[in-house]
Amino acid sequence: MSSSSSGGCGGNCSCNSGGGDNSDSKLFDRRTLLKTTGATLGIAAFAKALAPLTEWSEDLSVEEFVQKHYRELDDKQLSEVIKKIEADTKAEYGADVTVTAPKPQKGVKFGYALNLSVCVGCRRCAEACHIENNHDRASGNSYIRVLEMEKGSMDLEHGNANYNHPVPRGDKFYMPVQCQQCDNPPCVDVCPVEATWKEKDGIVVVDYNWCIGCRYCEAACPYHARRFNWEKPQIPKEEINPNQSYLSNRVRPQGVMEKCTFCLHRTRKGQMPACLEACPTGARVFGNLLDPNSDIRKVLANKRVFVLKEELGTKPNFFYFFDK
Amino acid sequence: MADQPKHDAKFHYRSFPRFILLALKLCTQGSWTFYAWMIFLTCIALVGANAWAIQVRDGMIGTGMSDHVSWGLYIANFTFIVGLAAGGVMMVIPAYLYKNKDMHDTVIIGELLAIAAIIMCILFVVVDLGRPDRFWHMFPLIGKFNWPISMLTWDVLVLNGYLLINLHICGYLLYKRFLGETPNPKLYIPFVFISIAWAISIHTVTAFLYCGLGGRPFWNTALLAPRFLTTAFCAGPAFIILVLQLIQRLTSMPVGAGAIKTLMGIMRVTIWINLVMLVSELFTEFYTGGSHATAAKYLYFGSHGLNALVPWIWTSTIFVVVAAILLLRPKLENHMRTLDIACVLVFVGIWIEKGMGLIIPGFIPSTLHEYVEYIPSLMEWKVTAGVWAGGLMIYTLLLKVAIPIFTGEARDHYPQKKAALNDSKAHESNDPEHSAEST
Amino acid sequence: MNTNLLYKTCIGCAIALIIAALVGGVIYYAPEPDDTHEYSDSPWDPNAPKHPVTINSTPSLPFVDSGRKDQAGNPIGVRCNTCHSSKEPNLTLNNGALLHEFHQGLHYAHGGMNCVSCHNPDDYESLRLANGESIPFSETIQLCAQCHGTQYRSYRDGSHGGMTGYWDLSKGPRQRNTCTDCHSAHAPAYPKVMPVFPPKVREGSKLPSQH
Repeated sequence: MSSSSSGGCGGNCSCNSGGGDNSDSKLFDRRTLLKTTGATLGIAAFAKALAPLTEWSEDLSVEEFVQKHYRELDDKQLSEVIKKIEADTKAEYGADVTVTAPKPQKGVKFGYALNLSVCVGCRRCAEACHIENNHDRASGNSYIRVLEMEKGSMDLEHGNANYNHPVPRGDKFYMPVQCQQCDNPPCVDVCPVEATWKEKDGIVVVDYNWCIGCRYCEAACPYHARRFNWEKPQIPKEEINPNQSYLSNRVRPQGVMEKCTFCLHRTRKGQMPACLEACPTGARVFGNLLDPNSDIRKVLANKRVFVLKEELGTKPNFFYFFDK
Repeated sequence: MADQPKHDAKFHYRSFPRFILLALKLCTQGSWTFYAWMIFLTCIALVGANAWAIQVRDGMIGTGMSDHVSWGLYIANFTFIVGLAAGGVMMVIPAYLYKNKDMHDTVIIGELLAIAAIIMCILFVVVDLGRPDRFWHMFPLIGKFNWPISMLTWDVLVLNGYLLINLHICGYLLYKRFLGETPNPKLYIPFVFISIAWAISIHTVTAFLYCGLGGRPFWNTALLAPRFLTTAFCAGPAFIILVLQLIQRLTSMPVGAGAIKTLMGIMRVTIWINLVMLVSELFTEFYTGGSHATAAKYLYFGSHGLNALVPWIWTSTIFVVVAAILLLRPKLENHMRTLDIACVLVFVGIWIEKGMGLIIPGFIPSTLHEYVEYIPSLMEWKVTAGVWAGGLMIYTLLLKVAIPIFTGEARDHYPQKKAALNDSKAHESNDPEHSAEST
Repeated sequence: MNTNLLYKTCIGCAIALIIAALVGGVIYYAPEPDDTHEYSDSPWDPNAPKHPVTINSTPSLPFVDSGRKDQAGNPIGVRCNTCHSSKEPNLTLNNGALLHEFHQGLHYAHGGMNCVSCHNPDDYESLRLANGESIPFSETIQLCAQCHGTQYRSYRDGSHGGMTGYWDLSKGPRQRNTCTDCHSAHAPAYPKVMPVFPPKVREGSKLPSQH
């Protein structure tokens, strides 16, 4: 910018920087006064503009800020973190909850199969997931999306998740899609902070206290399995499922990713996932892939099984089959 | 200019703060145009900052994004601005590799653009994060840095590295000019060469963020990285040509006609390469058809009753084609208005094509082939405008500091003053009756 | 001078990249520290004793609701042989609409088979397999299985029929539906239901199209 119109001796601004000899009369000159006022106003305006951040920071705490990654917490630190989570849930939602941290069992690898000849598309699995996993009520979020597909076609382009008529329709079949707990998960590859990883029993989990909310994993997942907490979940206290775990269905904070965990707070204790228990027709099969006598292994052995988007090389552990 | 005396650390300990003080002084002094421009940008930046603070407090539900379209305006602008940063280096290649003298003196304009653009990129990523308070999780050693598998970590490395390289080059050159000394080629030219390769890498890595995802067939094309580079090398020179003309008009810095001519020459070629790549992409999509073409069909023709992006992409395509034709005009350097129109068309056209026209169709249809549209909310527009205003403020301030120093208007006068003071003291001690004569 | 510096820069960069690749390789391939949460204390034991799998039972002795209630308000049931021990069985009957004396309005839609395909004309308080063998009502599944073998084998292997409880029977039991929990024996076609819990669309984004 040309300095020809600036005050003082034209051009050489650095003249004034050295001494301080002539500057007494310049301290209160109009230009400096205007500039100082402007700067002060600017700083005040900036502080006011960012004021909402102070309200948000009330939700945060120093312990949560410095908390290490789940895999680096020792037992004592983990139990402190869990106590804090239980206390926070009580304070914010009014519900008494128990948060566990069950670990994978050696010799167990979870697999899930879905009988497309038997699924009638009632969506009770999606509803059970919503209730079990303490999803935000207003958004009607669920990890399961049921697609009504054309018989004779596997093209997802002709699938429809928004059907609202008596089911099953004779010319359609119904395909629930949820996290496939891939053996080669693209979501785990792309996470910049390793907030999501594959556990030893095959479940891909998210550390909600580590995730930075960049949503790269949501872009990478080929199965629309991931959900983001666009706002703080709102659940009435009587609807909160109190049996929670750190990595699965505890009430998540705002701004982090989440996904189906095969109800690990249940399945790591040997129970069936909530979606399976809700299915009235028994289209869902769940079990230990490493047990040769399990139902899931019988499905893999006797039924013609396929996976979605096999060509992407994700190696899902969610199998689909038809009876005929 | 004086030859390079050897300085010890103590010298720099004194003179570097003077350099910073000079820079601050230059930042806060100027014409009324300057003040008006900065106040205007500050207002927009404040609106953006406030909108972002509300977004952090209330959650990103205030944006138009959803689980179907989970990246939007912020990442679209981020993608475009990375290209602008890479394009800034387009001036460096002719200046340093081809020893173009006219270019040499104006190269710093492009490098300063790179600095401002990278800061804008970082800001766009920060405003897109759901938990910006957890930024430290990305630092290696204290956090967890999923390098080398996650392309986002590569992006973090290359963007910050590019920022540091350009800060060093510009800082070093300006500091040396401030001191009135010739810069030592060994201390900056290797970094210039590195910055050329690095500029190409930042945009390739950004392209790899998208084109490696198998679940997003619209992005999963080998041509994405080359397209990114060519569009960057169109939009970058376009912006710089306009900035150079502004500098010619508003400052006393000499801008050689050759600089604009070289940039124009580059643009003439890259814009046609870009069009060829676009045609190649569209042919592959539409000729094959099938589910691979659904995103392109949505983008160009609308699909399933949704067509919000159709007017935008056609505007962009027409802008770029018209600009490509305008740029073919012979002796374009004598028709600055044509060139200016072409630059604006290129800039806007590529902003649309590479921003919203690339990110959004990657999500429509979703991976389960659902069609959910995305309309940016007012909050997103405010934050985006705020980041642009912040970036333009930074760029203006950088130029405001750099140009006077480069033209010699602003210099470190302390050594001369000190010498004069010593002289007058020497005079006094010899002849106390004579008054000191200051230079 | 510039060209010389260019060469030096290139060589310097190449060396830096090689070192970076080596360091990166060491970091990447170095064995990770033991994950504190890798496994739980007890591994899965295939030989651990298993809890039972209970199948919902069908009553061993069926009753027909007489329509009257006893003093306590419970419906009074009538045993099958109350009437059928003295009546002549109609071996050709295959239509519920033709029942006039009792069981009126029975909706019958099971392939148009005669009633005695399943019911035992010699003892209406039991059922009859295809080979003439009589089985109690509590073994209804066997009767279904003799014709619907595919579905029975799926059911037996756990891929048909609702269940609740534990996948790991060493940790807890399992309850399973029986065939007639969902498929009425007389009209077994699975009824249509209205789906629940439609997916919601975010405010501000357009509704996904209805195909």
